[in-house]
Amino acid sequence: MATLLCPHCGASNRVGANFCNRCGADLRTPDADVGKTSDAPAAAGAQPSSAEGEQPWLDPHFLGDDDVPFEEEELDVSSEMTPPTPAARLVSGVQGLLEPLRIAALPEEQGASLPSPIPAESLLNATQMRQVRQWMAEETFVGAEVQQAATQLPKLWLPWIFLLMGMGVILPLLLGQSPSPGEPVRWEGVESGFQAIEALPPGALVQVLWAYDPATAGEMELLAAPVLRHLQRRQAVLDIVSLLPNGPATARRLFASLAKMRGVDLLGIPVPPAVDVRFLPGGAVALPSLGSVRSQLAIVLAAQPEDVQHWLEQVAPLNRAPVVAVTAAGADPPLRPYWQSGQLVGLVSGFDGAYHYVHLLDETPAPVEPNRMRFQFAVQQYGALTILLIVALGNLALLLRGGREHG
Amino acid sequence: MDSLMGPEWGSAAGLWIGFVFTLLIFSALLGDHLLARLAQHVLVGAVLGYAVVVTWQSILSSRLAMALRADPQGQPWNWIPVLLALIMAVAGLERIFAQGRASSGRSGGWRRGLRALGAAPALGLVSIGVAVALIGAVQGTLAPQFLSTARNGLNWNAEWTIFAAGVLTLVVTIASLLFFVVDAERHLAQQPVWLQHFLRAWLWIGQRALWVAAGALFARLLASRLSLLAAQLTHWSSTLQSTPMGEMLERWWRIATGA
Repeated sequence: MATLLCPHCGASNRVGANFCNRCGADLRTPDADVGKTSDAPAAAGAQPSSAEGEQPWLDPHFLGDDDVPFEEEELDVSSEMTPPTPAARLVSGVQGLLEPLRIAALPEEQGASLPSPIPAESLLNATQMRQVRQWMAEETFVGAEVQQAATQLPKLWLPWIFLLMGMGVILPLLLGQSPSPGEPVRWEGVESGFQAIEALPPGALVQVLWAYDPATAGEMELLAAPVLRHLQRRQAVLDIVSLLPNGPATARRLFASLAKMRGVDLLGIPVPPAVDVRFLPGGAVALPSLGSVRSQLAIVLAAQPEDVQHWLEQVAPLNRAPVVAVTAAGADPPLRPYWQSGQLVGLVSGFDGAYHYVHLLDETPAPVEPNRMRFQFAVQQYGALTILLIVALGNLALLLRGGREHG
Repeated sequence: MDSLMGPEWGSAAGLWIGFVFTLLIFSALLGDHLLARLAQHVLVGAVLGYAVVVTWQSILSSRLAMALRADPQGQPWNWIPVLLALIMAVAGLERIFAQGRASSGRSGGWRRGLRALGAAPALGLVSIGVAVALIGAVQGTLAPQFLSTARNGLNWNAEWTIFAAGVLTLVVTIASLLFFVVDAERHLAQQPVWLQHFLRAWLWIGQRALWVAAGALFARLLASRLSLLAAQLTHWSSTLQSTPMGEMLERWWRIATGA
């Protein structure tokens, strides 16, 4: 088998190799001894035959280990690379609000004319790569046929949709239109979650997984506040853990605002001292360590369904404590099967879940709370109506456009 | 100076900085531009920096460094993570600094050894993670969900509405799975015509079922985002109303609307 000798270290490489397998030296440069090939048995004990081969530093053109031009080497390496697959996100705590900053690792991805064995059309440009990453990060990818159909549709100008959405929500509120009568949907799982907490004896140990951070606190605090107030009313002992670095600070802030705004002392319960919230690094892999805690109930406050799923997979089978999930509305559909199978004893999700939980609590609301709830309800209603309008308009436009094209 | 550093000044500065950064990130809607990128970099940098500080304070410093300093030989297993971290750090640094440099035979062997050693802790982390995830998926999702479906999926003695719901669930589930697995053009071309029609109808149902599921997900996701929007608006309005500028804007608004 013909091999190629490396001019630097003398190692044998396969013919056509660009770099030495042992030392990484470039085998393609003109001054490299690329013409020298030998058969494998001979190459096994072969050494560079010339004096420069044995003492390469005597060659005036020799580039030592430290003298290889960095940029040249980088370019050579990068020209051999294939476009990288989307990398895992560094910052999971931001919870999907930001797309990854690093679009691709290749410097020539924008179409620079560097020599590359990869055809130009196979390289994704920055926009396409971002789209791919978005698909990978989100979960609303349905199928190839839907995707193909979407490429034939006219492009929407996103700011228009946001503008319509903003006007649909803000204008009725500013103009003082009262929301239409009715009340939020009463999903199953809220009442059973309430009953599970209500049944706790005083002093019961309750594990709380704090799986949201400031990015989703706007929605999650609507839910977490009444549930935590309920736990305080039942005088439960809370063992709060967060897998997110900024989870403990978020928890402390909510407890502080609960003590300040709501006034737990109004209920005749002493305000607890500073809440101890532990940060547990390591993600879901660290969760089994919580399985040894013999708690009477577990509450998972999560903006994403995966956090509840991880708890049900890693902790609940170990300590057998019943679990109540308190989640964002978007996390509700994937968690429904867990509620129906009995793995969750309660599922409180979204604004509507918070609304009904507050009513079940049957406590005197703080002065600002009814207004806040009314405002929330109005935004939910007008927002949903606006989206329906946008969907209807989009379908109408498509219908008219299709009619024009075919007629 | 004291007033500048006081909590009121701090919260006001936080409010306006937050407002400006919200607008900057929001402006990404109009396209990818320098200021929007800058705001995102600042946000991600702040989150990362905060995560490092919290990890150091709550784990590395309090549980590891202090314990080792107080009694280095008392808990020898505490040295294991330190050792593994050092190996990974040295191997990682070597890889970073060796980029683009050729190495001679002797140092090449040394480097390969170091890299192999550095891969060992990473391998441990990955393998433990995979094992935990697999066991968790079986004991927490697959087995309970399968058993629950087997127990309650099709109850022959149930009322007809419940039975019909069970049948519908079965049909839609199989149809959705078929839609993901069967490619009509590729897999059905050689099949008999009646089978093609039957499977195409089932695929049609599966596709519609997925659309409906995606619609439900989208609707709940929208509700989630609207809640966030409402919370943000409430926060802004309540914070702004208590400032002189808020009072002034409110006066103007009352004059403009005649309220």
